[in-house]
Amino acid sequence: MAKKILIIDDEKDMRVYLGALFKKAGYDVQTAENGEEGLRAAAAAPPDLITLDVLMPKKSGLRAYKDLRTNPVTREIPIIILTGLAQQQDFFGDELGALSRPDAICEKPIVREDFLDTVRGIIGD
Amino acid sequence: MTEPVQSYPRWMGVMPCYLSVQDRQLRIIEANNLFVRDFGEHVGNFCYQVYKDNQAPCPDCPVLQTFQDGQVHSGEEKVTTREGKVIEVVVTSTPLLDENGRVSSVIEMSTNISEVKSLRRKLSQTRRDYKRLFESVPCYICVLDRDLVIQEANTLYKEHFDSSRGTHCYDVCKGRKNRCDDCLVEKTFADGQSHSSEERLTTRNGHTLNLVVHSMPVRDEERNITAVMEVFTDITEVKRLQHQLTMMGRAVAGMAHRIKNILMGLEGGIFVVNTGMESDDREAMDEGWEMVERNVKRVSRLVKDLLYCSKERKPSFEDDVCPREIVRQVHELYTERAAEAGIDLRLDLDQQDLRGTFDPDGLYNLLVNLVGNAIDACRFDPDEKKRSHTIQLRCRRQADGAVAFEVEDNGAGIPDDVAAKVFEDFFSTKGTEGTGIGLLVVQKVAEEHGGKVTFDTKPGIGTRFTVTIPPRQV
Repeated sequence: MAKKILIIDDEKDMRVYLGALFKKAGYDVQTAENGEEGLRAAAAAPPDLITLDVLMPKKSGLRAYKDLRTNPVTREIPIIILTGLAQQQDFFGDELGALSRPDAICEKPIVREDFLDTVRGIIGD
Repeated sequence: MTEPVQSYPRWMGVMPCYLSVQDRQLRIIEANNLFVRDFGEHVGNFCYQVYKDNQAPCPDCPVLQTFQDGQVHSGEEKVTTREGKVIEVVVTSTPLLDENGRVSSVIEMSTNISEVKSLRRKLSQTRRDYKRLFESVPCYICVLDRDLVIQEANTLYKEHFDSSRGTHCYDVCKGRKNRCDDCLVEKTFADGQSHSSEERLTTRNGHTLNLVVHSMPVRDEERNITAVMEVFTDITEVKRLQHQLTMMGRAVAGMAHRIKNILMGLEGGIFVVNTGMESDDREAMDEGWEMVERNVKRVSRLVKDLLYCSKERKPSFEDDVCPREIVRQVHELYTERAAEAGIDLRLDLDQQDLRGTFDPDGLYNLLVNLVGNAIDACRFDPDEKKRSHTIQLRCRRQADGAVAFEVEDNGAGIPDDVAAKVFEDFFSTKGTEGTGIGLLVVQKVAEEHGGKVTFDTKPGIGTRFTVTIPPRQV
């Protein structure tokens, strides 16, 4: 059975792009438009991996991340942070306190093959 | 010829000055070796002939004065040697008395002071040069004593800083009553070294200047510090350019970021189209193509905004333009997109005719940017309790005849630090509707219409932008 990736991103282009990329690589895909929707989806049917945007309406990526990491149902799910600004990587790290760090932080725009390698490195094919 | 009554002692012959004994007619009776060397054997000749080749005594002749009053006299003269060299001398005349105590002859002693005079002239010239430098350098200069009292200041300093405020540098430069912390002058008095810092000072006209200040010790011959000189160099313009360069750098970085995102959208669209074609998935192909189109539009808007910000673009004014119609078009453009984001975009138009001379394209772009930013402000409102978002789009004529456009949202509001530089900086909030330089466009279009942009904002409550355009005088 194919592994499932949940894409949490407010930008439709990103959801469509990553969705097509993951599907072509053999993964199942689920999408959420914002942090709140993503938390609900992850808790209802935990995916094998979450890609999480940082700047999003309603619930920011940082807050969504903290919630995912503190919810017993979702805390073990690997998370890749997708960010538009490299400097947010430090900010993300500083804000997390005792919570475990993201499994990877990737900068947009992604380089397709590198990004897929990162995904495969975390959850396999 | 008068016989000498009393001759000068022989040892005076070797004195390093010109010595001559003269009678009442100013004829030379005797002269010493140096005199003879430089002026020749002139016994019997008049001194004014020998010294100056004149036919009459010099005015204020000290020898004549001594003959008159029996006193010692002196003066300065220029004389010419037999080789034609002009030398400057200090002349002292001393009476020689006969047995009856009357002045029988006068000894004239002339000391060559040409070198002293030359040095004195050089010193004066150097002082004048320094003074000129002190006055003409494009810097504010003052000299301070240990109590920080201004001893001297150049004209530029006096012109720009109000010395009526006090005598201390901190009164005059900063209007303070006490010395500044970290005073450079005190440091220089303490360690004898030069120090420097950057300061912001206010001139007597109320202009704030950015200055680089250097303090330097002024020493006497024993190397003791007697005063400290402060030199202020105005770097206001440099700072302004530096700020502009920083802003430009940030603008370029922001632009690169936007373009990067658009490129990823295009790349993603092409990837989705290709994937759809490979798998004969019509839906994927349509979706990918929509992405391409959407991102081409984003590039197009970004380029359009950049052109609006560029100086080359000239506004194209037209008469009989209805601003209400333009507001309606923008409302129509955004209604669906706002609704998708759960935002109620409302229209509130003045019923009276607002027609006038406007640049319709500029006005449209201005409103597109303001509404686009308002949508982003609502979408990215972190307040989870605020369930409904509204944007009011208003257009009305004011009492003074100006047309006011208002875009008011109840979104995130603008933080104070961002609000302070909202028109000069790249508006860094993430957004898909705005291009990031939208407010620069808004300001440019408003200014082209002779209008202005103002805004009220409260973080967490919302923002209202108002563009006021006065009736155009043709």
